[in-house]
Amino acid sequence: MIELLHIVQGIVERGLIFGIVVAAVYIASRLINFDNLAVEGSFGLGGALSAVLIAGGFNPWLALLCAALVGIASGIVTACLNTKLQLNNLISGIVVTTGLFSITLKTAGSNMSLSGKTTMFNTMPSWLAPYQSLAVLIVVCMLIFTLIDWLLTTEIGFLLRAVGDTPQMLTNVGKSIDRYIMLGIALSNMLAAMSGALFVQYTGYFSIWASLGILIIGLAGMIIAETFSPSFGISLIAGSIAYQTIIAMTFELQLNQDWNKLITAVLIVLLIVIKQWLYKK
Amino acid sequence: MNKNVILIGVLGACIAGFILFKQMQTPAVNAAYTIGILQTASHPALDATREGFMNELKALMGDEVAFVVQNAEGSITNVHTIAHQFHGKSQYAGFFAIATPAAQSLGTIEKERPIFIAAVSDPDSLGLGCSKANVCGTKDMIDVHAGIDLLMQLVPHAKKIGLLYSSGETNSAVLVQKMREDLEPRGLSVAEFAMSNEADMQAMVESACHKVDVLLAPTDNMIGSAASAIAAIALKHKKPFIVSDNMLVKEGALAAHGVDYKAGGKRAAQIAHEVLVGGKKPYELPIERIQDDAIFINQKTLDTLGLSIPESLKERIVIVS
Repeated sequence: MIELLHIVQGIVERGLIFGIVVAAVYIASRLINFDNLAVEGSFGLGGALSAVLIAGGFNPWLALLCAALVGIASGIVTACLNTKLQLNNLISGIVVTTGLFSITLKTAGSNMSLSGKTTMFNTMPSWLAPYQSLAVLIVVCMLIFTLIDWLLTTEIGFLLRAVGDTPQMLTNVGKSIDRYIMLGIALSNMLAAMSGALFVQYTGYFSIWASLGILIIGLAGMIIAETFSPSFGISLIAGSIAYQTIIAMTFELQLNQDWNKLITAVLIVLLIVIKQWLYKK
Repeated sequence: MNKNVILIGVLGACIAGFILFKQMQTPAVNAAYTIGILQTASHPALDATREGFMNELKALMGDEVAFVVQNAEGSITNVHTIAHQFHGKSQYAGFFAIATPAAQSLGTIEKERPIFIAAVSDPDSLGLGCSKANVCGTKDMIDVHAGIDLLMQLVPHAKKIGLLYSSGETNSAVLVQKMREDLEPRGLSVAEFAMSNEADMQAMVESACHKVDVLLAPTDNMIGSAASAIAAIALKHKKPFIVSDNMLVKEGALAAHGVDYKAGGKRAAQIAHEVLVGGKKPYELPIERIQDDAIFINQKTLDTLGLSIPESLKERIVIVS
């Protein structure tokens, strides 16, 4: 039983970290209708920057903040490519992710170990240590989600949502659509970079390959979350946790490992079909 | 309200299913020692490491040992997920980590039980060296100097050397720097060709073939999985392609004086045996470098390029065809 709790705790922890990526994908794809492929690049760069700062002895919370800032910057670049240079939104994201690979590589190299350094997850006394990751992640996610939830209730948030649904409305009230696209994408990339920073601190090392497939994690989490609830909120984290549960179950099955990816795919389809069936009743 | 109920219901069902599934699961084998093997990706060199380890440990311990193999298929998040699950299983006596990310993730999470590593180039710089009390095994650092000696003897006319590697691998960056430092004092000029993904490979190798006399690659995962394609392009342009992983010679590369991954896994198994049965502590055992004197040469490639094996090398050569 303790063994199981341990595994569930791991699933929830990763679910929380990637829940932030899910939120990033949701804000871009659903709120402002801009499929943001730069998420992957921002995730890597955020992780790299926080790894370098932590290895340099800086406060890990400061590292998280710096990652957020660099995420905002890459979001602004993505948005400018789209709005100022008229690049297609998918291409803007691809270009930024491609370019950020080099910058990430120059920032932290291909691999950087944080063993022996102070991170957000290893500061508590030893009897509390096993639960620190979970506690810190819950606090961070609550903060992030509450802030964004609050932002969406303000006038800015209202207009942000209008970018995706009724862009005409923004022009009617004399607001620039481009500026709100930039805000949304900056927000999305900020979240991706923060998630990257959390992931690096959580795993204890940075690897350039960690950002590979993050977009899939974000998208899958979002799709599952939308079967729970279509609006922004805690369901995004639930979707992310559900996806991590599926991945963990795949490994627990311990069948021939070559089938793992197929099993993951089938489990996702199953989950969504069951949900749709439940919804009809 | 209704939605929330369904949300909790589905999540609950998910977790309940998971718990049920866990309960149903019977322990795999009743062996005295169960080893959790965490392999970073599917790749010929890493597969060979795993086979070498499993075969040797099975030979040493027989039915006393059982394995649970998990492969993260190159995803760092999956590496971490598996490492976490391994850590949660109290019946595992030890762990075998294949390649750097697996070793790092297990090293971060597991602090008590022994972790045996292999196919890791530079464990010291990753904080996995002697400071970690529960890590031991082998590393795949190659002898750069010997590899370049081989290149000079096989292709004496070479003036310009192209170093082919992937930009995202620490071990490659370290080795390429060493290769450059070894090549330049010999009066050879060096050009680097770094790819960031396998899709770039074709274009990059084509361009490299036009610019240099010989292609040389360090132990590199991306080169490893693209080796047969690289060898084919190199052969088309009549350029020798020399690698650092002995197994890639079979794929069509000209020659290698490098790492034998199977031997690395085998040695790691012997070290594991010393720890599990012999009662030694992992920190008493240094992380060993695998030494091998054999040179592997592909006969067909050699003939196509019109090269010959110098007399001085003859006795150390293993011909692959």
